Amino acid sequence: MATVQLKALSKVYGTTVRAVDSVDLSISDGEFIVLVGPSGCGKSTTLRMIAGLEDISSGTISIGDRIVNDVAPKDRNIAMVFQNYALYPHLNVRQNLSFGLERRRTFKSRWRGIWDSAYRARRHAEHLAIRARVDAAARTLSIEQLLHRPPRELSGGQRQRVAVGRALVRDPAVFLFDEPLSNLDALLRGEMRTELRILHRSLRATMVYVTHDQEEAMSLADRMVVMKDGVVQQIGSPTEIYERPANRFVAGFIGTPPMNMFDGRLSRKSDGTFSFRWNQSEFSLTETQWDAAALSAIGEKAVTMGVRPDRLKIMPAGDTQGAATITGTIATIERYGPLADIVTQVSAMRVTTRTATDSLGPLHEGDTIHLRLETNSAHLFREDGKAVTASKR
Amino acid sequence: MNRTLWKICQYSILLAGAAILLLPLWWMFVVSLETPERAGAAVTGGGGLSLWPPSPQWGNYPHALSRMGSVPWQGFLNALANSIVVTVLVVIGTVLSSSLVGFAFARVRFRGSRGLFLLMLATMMLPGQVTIIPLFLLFRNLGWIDSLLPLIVPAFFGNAFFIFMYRQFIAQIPESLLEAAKVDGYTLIGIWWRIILPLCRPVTAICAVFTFIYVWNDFMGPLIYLHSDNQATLAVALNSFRNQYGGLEDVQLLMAASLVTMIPCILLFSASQRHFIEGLARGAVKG
Repeated sequence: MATVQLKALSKVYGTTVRAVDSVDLSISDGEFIVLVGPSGCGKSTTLRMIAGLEDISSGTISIGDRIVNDVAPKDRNIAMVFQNYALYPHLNVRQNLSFGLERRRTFKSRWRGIWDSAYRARRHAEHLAIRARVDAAARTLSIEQLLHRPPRELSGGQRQRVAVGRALVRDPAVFLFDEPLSNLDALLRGEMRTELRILHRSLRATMVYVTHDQEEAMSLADRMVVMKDGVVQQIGSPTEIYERPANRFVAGFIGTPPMNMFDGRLSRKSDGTFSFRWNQSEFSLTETQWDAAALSAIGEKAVTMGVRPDRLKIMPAGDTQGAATITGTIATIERYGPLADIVTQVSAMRVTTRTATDSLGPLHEGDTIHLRLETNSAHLFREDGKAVTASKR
Repeated sequence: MNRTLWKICQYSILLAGAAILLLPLWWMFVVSLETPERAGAAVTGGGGLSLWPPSPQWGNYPHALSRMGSVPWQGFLNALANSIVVTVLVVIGTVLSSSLVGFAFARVRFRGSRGLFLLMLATMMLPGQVTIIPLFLLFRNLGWIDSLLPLIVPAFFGNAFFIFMYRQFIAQIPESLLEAAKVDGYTLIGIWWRIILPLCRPVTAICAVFTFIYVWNDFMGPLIYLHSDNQATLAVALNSFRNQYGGLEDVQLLMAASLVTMIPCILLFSASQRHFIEGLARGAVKG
């Protein structure tokens, strides 16, 4: 059990490539932190620096209250689960699990036991203790019946369990996971996700988890760290990040299907209120989370309005209540059981709408559709990508 | 029908090839069991050899072996012991040092590793004969002449070809295995011993068998560095035996002694051939 602190942590390859750029992160004891971002965003490098497998270019890492910059991986009291499992192919599951423990034995010498019977007894007791720990970990992960098998005889999911078990027996202060589920099929991935969550709850251990899958991140994290190009974009709980993305990148990266982004302009009306203009339509911003002062601080500039697909409402033809709507042609309808995604072609843009399948009614591909943009649940991003924070409510 | 015919053709070609390759061996064996007169006649071409000697002289074997060296039996047993010591130590030394160096070249990043690797490869281009004299001078200055050391010690400093083989094989082992072991608390040496060596078994099989056969049959090295009778390896002892009994009248004894010398290699090869051919094929596919 330990906290982990990253202070201005950077990794520079050569002289110019900043793989990780001044990351500050404070992980509290027992927290499940997920680093998420597209490939090459520096999340894995950050994790590997915490593990000690990668040198630190600048900044500090502390685990507990000890700075570990120059501490070898084995002395950091961490355990890591690798993407390709990294099971030792020549050892069976039990040997794989006890490999690290064997190394840490106090009574290591096989030879001393030959003439020193007290030593032999303690060595044997230690051996039994290791066995017991391996058995306990195997029970937790229900892999007891696999203990005598070599890794090549295991399925992907079983290998994954063994890899987690290898971390578990060590009882480390911090668990590090490097995309551990990305080699599993979707069904198994969901299952393992649940199990990891349950495991975390029962262990109350600090866990740092890297993934490129934002859904996985949302489902696992206490807090998530969204990264891009080595820079932290936002840190927060999954709800916070989903509800209040800090910038356009986070908004677009988190959430399935991705947020619809309307690139338009702010315009001031004669009565001093603001509206959003896009594609010859005008959407009033009076009933939104932004007050006139906040909007006039931006001025009549190019802005982007982001709307989650489930926040677009299908309007019956002819009944647009006078409100501004988006009108387009349905390109495809993708049905996922109770939910369906409607992709609408509006001039050059594709707009995705998520709706209940029941409410689709007689809509077909090729039909004309009217969508209402609910500006009060929309997100507004400045030209530089930063979100305009709510100033009302 | 056509297929059967084709199979018959294939097998007869293979059998003919095998017969040609086994002919000298068979010839040695038959001569070693002949009486002096018939053996001498066979060598000079004066008399034909039968497929099996009419009266096999099994006594030729103890006779030949006991007469190696000056004291009965001692020469042979001494040479056998020397050969075993040299071969076993050289095999162990070559496997340990080559795998360790190969591991370093494959997985440890250090300044100049590329240059050193190329330099090592370049030494393979150097014919062995070129280094005979400098090496001899070196070992003479160390005072190692007429001891087994010049034959054994160099093996503990690696063999360029096997280092190359190990490096190529180890480069295929996923990096994350080594990282997992690092997190598990193992040092580089620990990783080499507990992970790399067990995983390199096919390469080790090839390395061990090749080295064994080469060293066991090596004649040049022992001839250069060893002078005394009691330091001789089997290959050298056999040569002295040939000088002593190389006349036509004793050719059956020479054949008997030669056959005995060959036995370990034949046994080793047949015992390990499954491993060995597998490893060779694997090495080929994996580069």
